[in-house]
Amino acid sequence: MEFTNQNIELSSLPEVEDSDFHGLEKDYLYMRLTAWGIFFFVSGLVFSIWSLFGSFTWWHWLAPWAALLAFILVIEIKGFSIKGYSIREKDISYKSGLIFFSMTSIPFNRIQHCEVGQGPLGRAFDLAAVKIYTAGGSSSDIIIRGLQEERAQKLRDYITKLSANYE
Amino acid sequence: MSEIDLSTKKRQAPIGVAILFILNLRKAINLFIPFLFLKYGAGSSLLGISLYAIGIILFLGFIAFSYFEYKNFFFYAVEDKFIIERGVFRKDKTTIPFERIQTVHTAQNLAQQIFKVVGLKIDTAGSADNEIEIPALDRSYARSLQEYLLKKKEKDKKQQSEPGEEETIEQPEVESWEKPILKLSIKDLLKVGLTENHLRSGLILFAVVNGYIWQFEEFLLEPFEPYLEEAEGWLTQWVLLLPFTILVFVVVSVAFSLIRIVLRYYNLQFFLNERGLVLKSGLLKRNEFHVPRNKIQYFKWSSNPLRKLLGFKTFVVKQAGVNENREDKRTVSVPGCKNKQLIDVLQEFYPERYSGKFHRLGSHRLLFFQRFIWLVIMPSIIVTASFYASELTWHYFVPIPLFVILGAFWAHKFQRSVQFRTNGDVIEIKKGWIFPSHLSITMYKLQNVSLNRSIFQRRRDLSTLVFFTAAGDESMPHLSHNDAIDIYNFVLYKIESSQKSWM
Repeated sequence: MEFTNQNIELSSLPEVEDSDFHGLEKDYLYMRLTAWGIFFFVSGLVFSIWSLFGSFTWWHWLAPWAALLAFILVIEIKGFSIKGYSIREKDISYKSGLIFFSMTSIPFNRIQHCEVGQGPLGRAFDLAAVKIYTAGGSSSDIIIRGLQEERAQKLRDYITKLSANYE
Repeated sequence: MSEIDLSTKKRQAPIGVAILFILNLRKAINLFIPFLFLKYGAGSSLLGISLYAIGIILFLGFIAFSYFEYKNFFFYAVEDKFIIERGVFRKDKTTIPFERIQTVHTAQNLAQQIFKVVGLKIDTAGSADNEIEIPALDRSYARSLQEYLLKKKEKDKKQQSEPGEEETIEQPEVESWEKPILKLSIKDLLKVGLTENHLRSGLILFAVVNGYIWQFEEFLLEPFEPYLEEAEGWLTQWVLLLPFTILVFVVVSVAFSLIRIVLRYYNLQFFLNERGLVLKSGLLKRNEFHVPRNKIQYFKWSSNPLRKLLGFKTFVVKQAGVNENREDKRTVSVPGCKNKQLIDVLQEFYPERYSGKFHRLGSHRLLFFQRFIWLVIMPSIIVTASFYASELTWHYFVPIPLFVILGAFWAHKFQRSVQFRTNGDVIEIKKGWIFPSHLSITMYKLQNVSLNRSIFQRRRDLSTLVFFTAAGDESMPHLSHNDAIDIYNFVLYKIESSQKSWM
């Protein structure tokens, strides 16, 4: 057998640590807030028109609408500092989630392929997402959003090069 | 085995015409019959031509169509690709690079059995519609084609990884051997059938039948009409019908389980050979699965109270590229396995399972509370509220506390049953009290890991680990955070330091 090594000191293993993680671009937070802003503006407008000219009453929607707005703001702003990625010699990790925290690591020797994606809002903010695909279902894939486009391209090339070593 | 030459275009076995005809006929029947019967009823006419005439015309048409379909169906190989051409009116050409082939297996439905041919199915990686079938081949030809494709695929994979060494690639011929693991006799099959989870069979059947049955509501309820008229309110009606419904449900479910099991597992043969494992089974449709060694991702076995008495387990081989969440036709599952047979297979493929001591970890009480609240307390509250709203007498409320107590007991037992264990090479997770399941993954077969932590878990310093493989995800809930982090790092280390072929 090529690799047997029973007596491994757990403490000697490399650990995925918080300090290794890079945060995402601040612009990404603004982009998300813009997207939510559009959503709340449009929904608020529709409800207002409905209330002014239709049969909907103000107090039926205003309070839940404002509460949801406040909730989303807190989640987005507090949750932003949690989002981050970390690249080590042999794997890449991503973490996110204020209420439901989740951290996923994919070793480079298990990456199927990797691509850069950009939406219309992303183009406006010069941000792109790096998608890292594995062989299983989509639940095991990582998407790192909120990288500068140039950085995203570089990261993609870097990952592709590293994972190609293993095939 | 004879070598196969695919440099020229090849057709299927001539009897393929008949197979294609039956395939087409079946499609046509599905398409036309409901339409004709609904619209016109048998014996009437369409556009002035009697249905019989139409039938004969269609019949002849189908024969001609099938003949041309047969004539136009080719398969051959060009360089590193396997190509299938087909189509009468619209020509299709499917190109499969050998390296993209996942598995090749053969199957025989009733028609194919009668005409003594087999269908060859090729699974490819990637796309959703990932199964291509050559419906009619001679048995021996199909076998050699299967071998050819699998060999080619291995070769191409190797070539990719080490270009420039093309000549030395021919791998040393491994001595071929065969080790039978399990054969199911008719008696075993009946045992397996009778100990199925009938509730599940019943529910599957119910889901299918439910769509049709209410068209016959009047007819179904007729024998009960006199009693029902006296009773008032939907609930009392329901209570009257309940015992009868349960009886019918039980009988039908058991019968359905038996039929399903016999159809699927008749004359089951499960054996290992030098290249992996093989499963053959089926009555009307014979399936043959060949799972190559490195396609095996992990093993899972489960049982139920009745089968526990017999010592039977259902053994599932999880292979790469097969979606585990749906009841996939390609899932390799072997019912009626005994402990010894299980160990035989595990020892062959996972020898590392038998070295080193296992370290065990349980799941936190939080699991008990979650199960208890969501699956016991919540439904009880809803039922109580609806009973209260329909102003029922106190008798109806009696079973509710009983349900809560039983539910608490079940949640407790379930939480205690969840166990994670590892010996440094293999990860095993056990879950379930009434329906226990057990899975075993060797670490280098893992693909990646994920650590999840909700605010409820954070307060108690717990984390859930999810292990991803190319054949599906498995999770271990509510480990202590420190243990989870240790396992997380260890698993990553194991994957990253492994040189073994994993898929």
